[in-house]
Amino acid sequence: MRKLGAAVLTLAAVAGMLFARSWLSSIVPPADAILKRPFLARTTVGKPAEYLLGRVTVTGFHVAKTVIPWPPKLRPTPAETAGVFVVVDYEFVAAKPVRVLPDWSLVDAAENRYLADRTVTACEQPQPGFMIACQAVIEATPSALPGARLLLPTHSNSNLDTPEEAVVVDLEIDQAQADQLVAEAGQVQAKAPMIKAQA
Amino acid sequence: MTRSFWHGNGVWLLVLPVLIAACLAASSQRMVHSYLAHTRQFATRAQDGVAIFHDTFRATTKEQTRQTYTRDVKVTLTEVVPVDSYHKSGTTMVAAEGGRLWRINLAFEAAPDQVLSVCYARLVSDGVEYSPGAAQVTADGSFELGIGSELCVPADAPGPTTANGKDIESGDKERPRTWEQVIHISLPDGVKPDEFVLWWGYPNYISFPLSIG
Repeated sequence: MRKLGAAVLTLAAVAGMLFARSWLSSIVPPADAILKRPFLARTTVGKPAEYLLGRVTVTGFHVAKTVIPWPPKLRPTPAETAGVFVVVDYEFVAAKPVRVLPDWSLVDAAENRYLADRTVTACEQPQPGFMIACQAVIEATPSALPGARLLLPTHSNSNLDTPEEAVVVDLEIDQAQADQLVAEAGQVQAKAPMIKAQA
Repeated sequence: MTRSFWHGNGVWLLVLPVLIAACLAASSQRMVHSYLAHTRQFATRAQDGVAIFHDTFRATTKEQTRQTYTRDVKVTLTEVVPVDSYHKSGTTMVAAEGGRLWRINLAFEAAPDQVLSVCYARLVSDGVEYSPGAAQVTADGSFELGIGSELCVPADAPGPTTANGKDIESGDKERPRTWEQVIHISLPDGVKPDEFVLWWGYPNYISFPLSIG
């Protein structure tokens, strides 16, 4: 009788554990989904975001049809586009030495990605304790503006679809604002970087 | 009970640490090959500003064969001082606004066949690292892109080099056995360095402790 009781108890325990495992696996996401999930620091224009490389603030942006490059030796003639250039002003404070800042990209509402154009503007090497203000110029289609967000990964060569860690800046552009920005798009002079020690 | 437990499990309990060590070793591939091999790990600490550095690395020769090379060099840190400016290719360079330039004087001694180009240097303060070439502007405040250069070898006779990061190419002109180099690094004003580090390839590096009053 005691043996029968022990067997029933064991069976009940095993069944309970199987149920528990089944329940847990239904609420815990699969390992692949966790491993591929990027660490995203989400923010908006004017609000700083911290991530692996340092602190990033997009201070503003312009939409242009023509960009006069800086420095001029990068490209002697103005860059023109049949679409639009999104000229992003940003500040960066490095948390550690960063040899080259990664490239910005713009992601539209349909998840299409547009990479920054390195031939139009340049940034300098950041240094911890210093704030560097630079610009990024991204060529995109006008239809990419509504719902667009900017993405700064930790490496320029990181997989854009699954960056390990990135700052995501929502530009908060709706259709009406996008139409107005495109209608008013003109010429922008790319600016030289500015660097100064943090107060 | 106690005697029978040890009698049955004693051997395995003794073997257990060895098995755990074997498991750790068997699962250390990523730690050893992907992490330790690509970070600064093993320091050669300078004594009285002098470091005798030995390193080995693998590279491809001109004949496309992989070969192990040694890197033997004596490095002497002669001075680390704050300065207002320095001249670079006819341009006066200063620290960016709110920064301070530090000049690092180094003396090198190595055989001419040692591959010493493409080195990396950092000033360290409270664990924060500062690199050459950053946070520096021209005297009129404008930027000069790409002000980095050879830090550890004479510009006119760098000796053998790993120009593309892999292949060894011999220099046109033989490098002298002894030479001096100057490195400038910009730090935020008021920050004093407590260490200078120099390396050519991971994981070995040279550490010069600093005591700046």
